[in-house]
Amino acid sequence: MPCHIQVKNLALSYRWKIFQKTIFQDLNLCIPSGSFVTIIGGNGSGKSSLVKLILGLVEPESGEVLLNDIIVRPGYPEAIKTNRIAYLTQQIEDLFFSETVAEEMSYQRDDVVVPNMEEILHTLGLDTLWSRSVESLSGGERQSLALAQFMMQDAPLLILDEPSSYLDQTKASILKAFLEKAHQSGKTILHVTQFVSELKWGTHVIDLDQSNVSLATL
Amino acid sequence: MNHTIPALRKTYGDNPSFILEAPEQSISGAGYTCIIGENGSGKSTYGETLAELSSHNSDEKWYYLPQHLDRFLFAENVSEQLSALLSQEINQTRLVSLIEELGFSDPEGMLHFPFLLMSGGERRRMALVCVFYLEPARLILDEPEIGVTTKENMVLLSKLHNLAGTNARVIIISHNAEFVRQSSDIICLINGKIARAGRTEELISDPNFELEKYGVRFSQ
Repeated sequence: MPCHIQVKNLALSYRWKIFQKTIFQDLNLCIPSGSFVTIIGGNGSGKSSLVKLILGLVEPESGEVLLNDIIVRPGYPEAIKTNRIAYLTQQIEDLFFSETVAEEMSYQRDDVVVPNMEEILHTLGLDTLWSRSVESLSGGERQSLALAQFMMQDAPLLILDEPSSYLDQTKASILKAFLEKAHQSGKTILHVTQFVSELKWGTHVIDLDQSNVSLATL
Repeated sequence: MNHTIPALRKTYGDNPSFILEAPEQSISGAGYTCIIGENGSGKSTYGETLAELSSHNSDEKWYYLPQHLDRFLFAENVSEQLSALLSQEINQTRLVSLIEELGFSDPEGMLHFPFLLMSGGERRRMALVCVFYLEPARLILDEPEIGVTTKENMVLLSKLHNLAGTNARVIIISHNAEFVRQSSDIICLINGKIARAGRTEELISDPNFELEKYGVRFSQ
């Protein structure tokens, strides 16, 4: 399988005043097309940083990331704008800009037809929240809203950063079924999680707590 | 040891179909109490309303740690946060010990390490360090397990048992089955109303009681 994502000699540190935190020193990975990769690791091991490097949201100190053999440039990801990546961030607190749920959902791209939109809204319980202000939603309801927007995109690469942390059992099952279906249809999936039980959803794992980080087959 | 949580009521202007309406609740007080319910059932509203209601009475005040830490972590680092909250010098030895307990590998280095450079899980654990340092007599933690690894959640559980053992009153809002199982009391919410409540061992042994119905996640 060709690499959908290739990480080459990547190094990353964060700095603030006199403080420095080294995340990666010489990271190399090949994530095959069509694989379902689960990224695990302790707090601060670099799970979200790896995702942001792949998206170009963070600039590495050295090394590079290639998406389908094209170098990822830092900045707002071109691949998201052109619908080649669907990204669900961990930061659901400041993800929304609209006043109501209805307004937030109206930002879906006009040129993308979502055949099962009503079904997605109903299964996530959003059809009953239509007139609610986003500000008043609970953490779980916000994550459901973010998940609905994510599920309505049709990108070949799906990247999810701790997508189920606020979800109850029912909604976590909906997420699992969605990812299974996406994987069966050939999409590449990168899934960051804290839940050990979600490891078995995927085909590969990257454990960032290991001294030599690599892609392992499950 | 029995104590009561007062009756709570809260409405939202943009959501007339939801009313939090919970009668006074008697709690065994043998350990910590878990609030459970599906997404949107009113768990956070219950915790926030209890904290608001008690905020004017320092003897009865419930300290609330929100889900969204931007509402809590206002300083640059843990030392500054606690100094500002307490308006006094902090005991560094005690703080270092708590930071170590919560699983940080370089506890002294974390005293002034900026929240800005921490991951989501590290920030949550540092918020818990602050709460445990403050030792409130009444504490509500809103989904403290979010973003924290299973191993560190076990440390958190142990701290909660210790805190509850010192006669502090502790309420945890959670979807985590282990947090629920180890509690002494459970309050189950459905759409703002208390659907079931009681001693954990009695509820769990009731064949008609289903934790799944209240959004609890068994696979962590």
